[in-house]
Amino acid sequence: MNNKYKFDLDLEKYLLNDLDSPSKQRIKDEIVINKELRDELERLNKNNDDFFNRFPVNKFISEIKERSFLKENKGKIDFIGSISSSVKRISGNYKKILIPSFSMAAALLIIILFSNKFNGTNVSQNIYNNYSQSDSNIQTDKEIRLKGPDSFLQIYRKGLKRNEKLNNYSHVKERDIIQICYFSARKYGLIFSIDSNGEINIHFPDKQNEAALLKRNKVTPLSFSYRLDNAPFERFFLVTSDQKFNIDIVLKTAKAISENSRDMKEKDLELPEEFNQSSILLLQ
Amino acid sequence: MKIDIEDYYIRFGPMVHRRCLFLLKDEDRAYDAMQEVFIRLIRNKDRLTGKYPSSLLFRIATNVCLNILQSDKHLTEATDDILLSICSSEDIESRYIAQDLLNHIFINEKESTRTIAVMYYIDKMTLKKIASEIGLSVSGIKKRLSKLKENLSISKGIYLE
Repeated sequence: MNNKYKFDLDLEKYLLNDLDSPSKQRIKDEIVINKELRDELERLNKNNDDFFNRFPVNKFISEIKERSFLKENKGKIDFIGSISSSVKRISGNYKKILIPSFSMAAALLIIILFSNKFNGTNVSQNIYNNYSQSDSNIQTDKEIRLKGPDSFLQIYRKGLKRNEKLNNYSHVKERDIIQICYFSARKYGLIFSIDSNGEINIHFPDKQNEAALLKRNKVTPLSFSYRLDNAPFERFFLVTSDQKFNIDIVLKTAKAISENSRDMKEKDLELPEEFNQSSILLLQ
Repeated sequence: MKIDIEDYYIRFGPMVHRRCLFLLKDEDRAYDAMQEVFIRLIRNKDRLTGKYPSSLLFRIATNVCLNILQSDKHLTEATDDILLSICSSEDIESRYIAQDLLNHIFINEKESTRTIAVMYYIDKMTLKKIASEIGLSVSGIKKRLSKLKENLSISKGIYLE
């Protein structure tokens, strides 16, 4: 059997934070004792980073738009094509005029038929290019949310030429500038981090005791970026709920895990069922 | 249900690509298959009410790749590896049996049974894990596999463990 390409569904789901709790805990326990597993996770994270270098988001989205359009409108394009080829038989001059027009007509058709097809946002523009943008328009509550693990963090590191998406266990350096983003199907949330010194930093909301009202169902960057200090690791948490909550409920359990280095890296916050949590650990 | 395909690509693209690469063993075909997966995702967006969206994408990716392999006229490295996975042996007789199994899976069985067969014989998943991914009971999975074996043994005189 060719071992060049591997696939382990549980490991993939673990990285996606899309795994049931017992399986997630089993993998977490295994990570501690199994170096091969840790290496494999690191390989997957690196592969994720390489993936977006090779297959950028904007390029992929425009390719599948075009592909989907061509599939759905094959008949129309063939019809236009056949008119063009019949004109060719009449006159070479017509060919010169019609073929550019055909191209323009086809392009126009693509634009008209396709302009509102996808629920695209300028997410990639926000994330990859713009750290300081703050969007004051709060999305209205019209989307059906996903059930299950439905909130997650995304963290990007500012680079010279392009920004780099960081994953769980990604390696970073002191003074790296990062941009924290969140995706949530739930209404309220809190973003904070615990570093290896046990220090808890609240990133969002700032200056209030209650969870923030979130922009739902789209990846949203915070309105500021964050410079890392020299702590050996820092773990970023997103906690969400459909109900408004006092952040002390979360900070209390965060304090409990901040007293133990291993817990800080691996343990989930002990929260009631109505909360959803996800985290990203960055290592120096 | 409204979905943001860009967000789904950012989140699940690498996993989908790795799945396609695992089954197809070819970068270009895997990329092509990945595009098809996301197009199908948009068309099947109403099915995104399940607990774990990665499971749906995994199943779509598996089916897309099986469709691509089915349309291959000649054995490729991908189908060869699948055969080896099924029979875990390189002897000629086992490979012919596995080839027949593969043909049978591709042509005669339902899409969901094909996915179950791949998960069992190629991904080596347990029945419990398959059941949780597919959304059937363990006994339902056993029934499908048992029926598959029965169909094979009746039509080909092939016996599987």
